[in-house]
Amino acid sequence: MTYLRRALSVARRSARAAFTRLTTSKKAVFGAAVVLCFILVGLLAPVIAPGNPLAVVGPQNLAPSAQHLLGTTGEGNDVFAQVVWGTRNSLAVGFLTGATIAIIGVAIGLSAAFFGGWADNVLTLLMNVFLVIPGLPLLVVMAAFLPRTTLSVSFVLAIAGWAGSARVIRSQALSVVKRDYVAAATVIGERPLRIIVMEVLPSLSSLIASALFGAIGYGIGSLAALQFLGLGDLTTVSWGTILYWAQNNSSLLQGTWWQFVPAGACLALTCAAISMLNFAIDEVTNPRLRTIRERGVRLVRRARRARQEEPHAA
Amino acid sequence: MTRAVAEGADEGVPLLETRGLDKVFVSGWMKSRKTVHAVNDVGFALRAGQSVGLVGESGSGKSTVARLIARLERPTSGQILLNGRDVIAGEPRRASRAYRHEVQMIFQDPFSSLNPTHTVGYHLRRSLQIHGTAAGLPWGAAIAGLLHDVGLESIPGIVGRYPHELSGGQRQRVAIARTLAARPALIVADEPTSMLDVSVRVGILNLLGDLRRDRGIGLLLITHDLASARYSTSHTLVMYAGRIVESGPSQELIAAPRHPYARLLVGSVPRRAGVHAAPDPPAASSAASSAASSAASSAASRAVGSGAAGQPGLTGCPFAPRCPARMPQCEIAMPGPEWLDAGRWVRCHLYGPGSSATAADLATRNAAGGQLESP
Amino acid sequence: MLPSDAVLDVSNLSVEFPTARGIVRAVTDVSFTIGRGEVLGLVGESGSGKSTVAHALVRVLQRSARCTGSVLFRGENVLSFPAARLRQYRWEGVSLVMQGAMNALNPVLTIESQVVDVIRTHRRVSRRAAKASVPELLELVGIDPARRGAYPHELSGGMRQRCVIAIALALQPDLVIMDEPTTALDVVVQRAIMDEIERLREQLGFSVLLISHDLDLVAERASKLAIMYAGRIVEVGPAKQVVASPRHPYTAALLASTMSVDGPVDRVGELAGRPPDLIGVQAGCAFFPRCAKARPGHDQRVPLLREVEPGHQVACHLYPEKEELLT
Repeated sequence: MTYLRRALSVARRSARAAFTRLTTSKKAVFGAAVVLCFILVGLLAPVIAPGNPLAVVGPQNLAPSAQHLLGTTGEGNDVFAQVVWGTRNSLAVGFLTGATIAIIGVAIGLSAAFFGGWADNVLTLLMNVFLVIPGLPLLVVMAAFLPRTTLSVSFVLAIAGWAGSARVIRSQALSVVKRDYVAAATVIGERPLRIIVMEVLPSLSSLIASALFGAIGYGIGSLAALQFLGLGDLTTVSWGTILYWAQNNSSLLQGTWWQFVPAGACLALTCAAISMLNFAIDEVTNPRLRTIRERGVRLVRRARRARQEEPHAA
Repeated sequence: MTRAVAEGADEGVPLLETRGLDKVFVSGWMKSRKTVHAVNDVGFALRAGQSVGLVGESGSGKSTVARLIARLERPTSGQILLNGRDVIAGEPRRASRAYRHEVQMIFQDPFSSLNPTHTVGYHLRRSLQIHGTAAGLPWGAAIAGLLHDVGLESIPGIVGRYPHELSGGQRQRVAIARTLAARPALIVADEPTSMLDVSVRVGILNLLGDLRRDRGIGLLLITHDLASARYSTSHTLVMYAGRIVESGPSQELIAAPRHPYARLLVGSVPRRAGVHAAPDPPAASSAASSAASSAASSAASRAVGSGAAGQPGLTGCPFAPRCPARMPQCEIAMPGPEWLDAGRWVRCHLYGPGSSATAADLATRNAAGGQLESP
Repeated sequence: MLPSDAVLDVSNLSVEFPTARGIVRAVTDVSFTIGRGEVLGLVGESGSGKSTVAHALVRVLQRSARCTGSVLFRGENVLSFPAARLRQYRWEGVSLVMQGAMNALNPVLTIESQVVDVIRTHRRVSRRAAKASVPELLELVGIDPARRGAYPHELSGGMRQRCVIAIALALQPDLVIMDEPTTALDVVVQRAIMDEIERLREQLGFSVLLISHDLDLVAERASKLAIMYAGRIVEVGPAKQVVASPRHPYTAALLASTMSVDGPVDRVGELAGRPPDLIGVQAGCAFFPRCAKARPGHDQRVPLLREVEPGHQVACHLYPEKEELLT
């Protein structure tokens, strides 16, 4: 479809502009750096921590030492290796869930806003139902009777989490759909699908990016929650399962902090970094969100410099 | 290059005709249900190459009429005839490409009518692609042709520019160029100059006038600015609360309006020469002249409510609450159209109860009596 | 007009804003006086600086803006007021009705509470006392006092604008600045509002600075008319005279390019081109590129305002000072 190519080129152009602004934002740089770090860690896991993370490598519950940087678990596994390898599962499922939620959210939110009428009413009802159902119990119930594979867990998370993004996208899309350029496209003779993709979607790109990052954060966090409750695939190594086994092992009572603190810290750091990226995207698209102090300081500095260059005639 | 008259159209068939056009907006459920009768029994005709002005305040329904004709909304009842063919009956759900080829629209806000994420070139090329009107030329040449037609050919690099890089007047010209790519027979212009600077407005109106003269493109100009209507159109319709209350040749109507609301409107326009410099319009009858004095009109203007679309259930004239010449029958029945001269009619009990002529007769007589365009 | 009668005496007011692209000189060397009970009309298109002037007079510009010159209110320079004096000056001395103010009313407060808010901010009165003065104020601007408990969204555009005017008059200022007071209103409501303002002016005796892009509207109501272009005043004089015999080519072009409901219907020409970029110092006359009467040399020096008739001044090289004729 040629217009997909065009949509991509439009996206590419605005991405390039946004990229230059993002690289100057401290939040974006920090967030991106952290996420990239973790991605690298996940990709290079065999290099950083060679061997099987589930292999028994030493005595149980050893404190961090030179041999085992983060000590050992209750089973005798190397905690450091588990955290490193666990990055893969946590991030992969998180990104997969995030992408799924974004796609579903965009499709449903846009359709509801664009077509309006009874389609909107039906989809909104659906959204509201899923929003009202408490998230964690829903996750627990679904995970309980579905197979315990990564894909099904991801599916479960998406089902429970799509409504939030869809609703946000729908309400913003409603205001975009009312704009004159959408009406103008209709009058010129564009077909509805093309209008949705080429006219409405580009105006929502920053919101969709924000929803995507939010969904990824949700994916990573909720996956860990499910796994912690023992509803994930316990044969895989993931930050959440590390916490599960730590809980099983009564690490808190025993005082073996190295068994849960590293995994917890990684989770918190990753989610925080993704939030930072989210804020940074908001700032790029809505310059008014940049802190007033930041803006004022920059302007005052520039004004002072300019005044030095051009002595002002009285 | 003048536009060839569409097949099936003979001298008697107007390009665009509406009969009994109605639009009711419904919102809310059960107790909080609100109905707004935005357009009420609107009938008029527009000949090929003619310019007609639709004048009224916000809430009068004029923008809704524009959207109905541009088929952005579906009428609740009534007919829209293009070259004599009933459009709504023929394509009830969505307007056909053929219709979009004939009828185009430009919007009030030149910034929001162009997609800020697309370049000028994209907007123009899409229109050419949809309607296949590039005539075998490469895109660049066809786009350059369109820009030339609207007077933007001398701006370097405009094809690659985004809307926010252009001025308001330039954006509006791009919007007009976009509609020209469809080779329309009629352009509906919804307040095309109200968001532009004063010195730029006349340029846009001149462009639309030139296109009409050179290519025979009809113009339906929606505006609240009487001066624009007088300058650009040969025939004017005055709307109040969803109804057409007066119709006639533009200059004549504005120089001597008959309907009390039209007189209020004309009398309210700021005059450069001073507040009370507006001449007293000649009266149709003594009742009309004594009633429509300027003092009375100021009372009418301060009265509650504006030209908002009428409430359902009221059968009388919607202007009655504010009318200085209100009579008992005004609150009971809405007067029908009363012919004053050829091409001029008014809906007001001051001039007669009006015929029970159907909107169809009205529109046809309108077209016949309407002033012919001077080249 | 004797200087002692002047409510506001502005001399060489200039306003600059630092931006990413450079310093924008929004207003340059603007001078005018407003007498007691006078209506001064300020006309210009978008980008002419007229709104900036309005904001500068009440000092509500952005923090990054730099103002120079003097704005004398009853002999004191507003630009050097300390915070306390500034607070006193605002609303009791000069009040401002901003562009689109009727849409900026607080949607969650009744109009009564908004008026009370203003009164109690500036005067030490009890809530009850402030509330008591509201009905009279509303009646003054033509709003039924029974509607004082209404919320802004329950009122029509015209009514909301009357509320805004009521708020502006709440403390009986000496000068009311109105920036495009009727732009979003229909022409019928517009006339009603302008008639109301006229009536109030006669009754209360305040002066008005009426800012608009609508030349006809301003010419109808103002006694003195000033035309702004690219941050400067290019012509100022009695309203009827400026409109009947404009001296500056921009004024003439502006008048010529507007359509009217009376008079001949000949083809009207558009004023080609765009106003200049306000970044950087202008070398000569800012209107030079678009001027039909431009002559070589007009772009070398900035023309200053000079008197051509009593009370009528123009900033144009076509009307040189006597000294310049000799050089």
